[in-house]
Amino acid sequence: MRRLGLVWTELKHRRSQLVSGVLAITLGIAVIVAIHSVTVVSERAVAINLDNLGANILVLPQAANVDDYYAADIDAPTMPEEFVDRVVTSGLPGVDNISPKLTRRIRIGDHKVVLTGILPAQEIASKPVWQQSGLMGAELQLSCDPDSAENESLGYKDERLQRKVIEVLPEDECLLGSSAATRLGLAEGASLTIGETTLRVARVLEETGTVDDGRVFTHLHTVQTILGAKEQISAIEVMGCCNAISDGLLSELRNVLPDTRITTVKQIVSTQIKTNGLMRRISLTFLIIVLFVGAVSIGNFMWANVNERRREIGILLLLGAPRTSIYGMLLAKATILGLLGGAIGFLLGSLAATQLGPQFVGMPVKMLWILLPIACGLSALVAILGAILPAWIAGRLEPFTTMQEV
Amino acid sequence: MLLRTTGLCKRYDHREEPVDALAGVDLELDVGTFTTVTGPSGSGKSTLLLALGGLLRPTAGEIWFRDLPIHDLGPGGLASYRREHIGFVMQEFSLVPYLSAERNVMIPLALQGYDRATQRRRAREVLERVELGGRATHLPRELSIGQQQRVAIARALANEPDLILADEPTGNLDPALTTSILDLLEELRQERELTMVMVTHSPAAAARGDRRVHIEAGRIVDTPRPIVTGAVS
Repeated sequence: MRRLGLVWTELKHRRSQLVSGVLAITLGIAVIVAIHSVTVVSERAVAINLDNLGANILVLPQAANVDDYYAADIDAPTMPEEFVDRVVTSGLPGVDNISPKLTRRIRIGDHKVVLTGILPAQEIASKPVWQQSGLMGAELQLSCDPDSAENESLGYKDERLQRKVIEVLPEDECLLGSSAATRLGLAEGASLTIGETTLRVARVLEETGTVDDGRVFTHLHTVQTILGAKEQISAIEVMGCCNAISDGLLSELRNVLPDTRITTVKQIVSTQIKTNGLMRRISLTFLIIVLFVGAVSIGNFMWANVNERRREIGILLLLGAPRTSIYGMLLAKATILGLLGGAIGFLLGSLAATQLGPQFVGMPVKMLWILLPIACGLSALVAILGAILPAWIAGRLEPFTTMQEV
Repeated sequence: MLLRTTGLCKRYDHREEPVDALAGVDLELDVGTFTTVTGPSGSGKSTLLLALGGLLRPTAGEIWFRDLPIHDLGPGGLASYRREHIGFVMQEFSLVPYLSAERNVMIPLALQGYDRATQRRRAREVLERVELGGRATHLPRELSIGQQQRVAIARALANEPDLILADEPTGNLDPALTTSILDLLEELRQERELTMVMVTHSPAAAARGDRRVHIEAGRIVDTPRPIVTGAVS
């Protein structure tokens, strides 16, 4: 017979106490696991939303108007193209792509269009319709986005296609937004003359329902020449890792480019971000509550258990069990209770998260197995903390007095 | 000489006035002797037994187990002394209710660090000796009162102690069972050359001892000569 065997036999002998002993800690762990599981998916959803948007940080000259994120580059004052080099050489982590732009409203014949200069190797083909238009390019290497396997495991479709860059756009070719093409009456292969520059229409983009439909996209250097704005740009679109943005990438960018206005599309998912923050705070609150209530609950249970087992403990002491042995048995019992509570709590919490979570975040929620050892460890730690005092008291019982208590 | 006390005192502090449960007890126990301790309730006989078993620390005086100063030992040393040298048989049987007879007997062996196979083998042997081999897997509640006390005796013998301390071992038993248990204890003591001290209220039980000690108000007031001679030494 081993001491652990004695503990286990005693637990089995008092099953109802076993259930009541682990109940509080089980429920606490279940709530934490459920909230955390949903929060993780929700945060991932925000990250994917942001990452899937392509460029999610916009760098504009200080005087630019940022009322409309997507049209902020139009008619914005210019800034030196050298700003791009500053960002590149800064080596900021989380900056996955930088695409400078120069944009102006121009008149072509009787029609107003928006002329946008882009650098083909850096311009993110961030819109699915661009892909549908056949603008296939090199895949962008991102620092933090989920790979296709992870996307699929979370139930998302693989969005990597949207993160390809337009690889080739010669300086004498252009892409036309759908409404611009309609207004100008141009089709693919036609020629478009702007001032003294003639461009061949390489592709007419499908309708996006955004300001991009009215744009004419061509090479940045071509636009700089047309507008006489050599080495000037009106905006830099930065594709930043969502986590890096949360960790303060904007501040770091502001340090690198102090004379600019830097904004993000974070407002698009601000509600979800706020919800995530709330859930994180709730999770933390529950953690504190579980630490306290769980320890008190286990401590109370162990205290009652010690009182009930005074005679048994007295027998063990009578037979020569050292005090350390009594401490060890009671702490082992608490550890078993904690591990059981943690494991059951993990299962209950995961079940609640997978069944109810999708209603909160609109995404499938999967079991996070990494939480199992964390839940068990935390629960065992709480149980041990709660059991220390009762175990100490039990070890100091006098066998001859407990033997007389019948 | 197995055990010797000199000037053994135990004072219990009380709100109104302290109680001297032992007030200078001098006692010597030779190897293989059977000593019975009698006396009125509250005379200090159980306190003497507890002190001899290292279960309470004397207020004054000395207890020597061979060359071991029991009165000087700390909790760890006393636990070790009980584990290795003492077998207890108590009035209330002292069995762990959720362990089978065999596992109850295995406890002292487990505490001594024997492997599981040895624990089981020796537990079976002593249970066979007390004629409970067929009840090894029974829980205490599934055994009669007499059988429970036999399990307690088997457990006291399991670690092959030098000294058996019995506190009213037949106090809860009817006359027939009392005789049976006392006969068993006496048989085991003689075949294993054990030293035994038994506290009892019963004159008949006390008469079985080689030596009778009578205690009143914490003092030995009468120490008759052994009524059975030829004790094993």
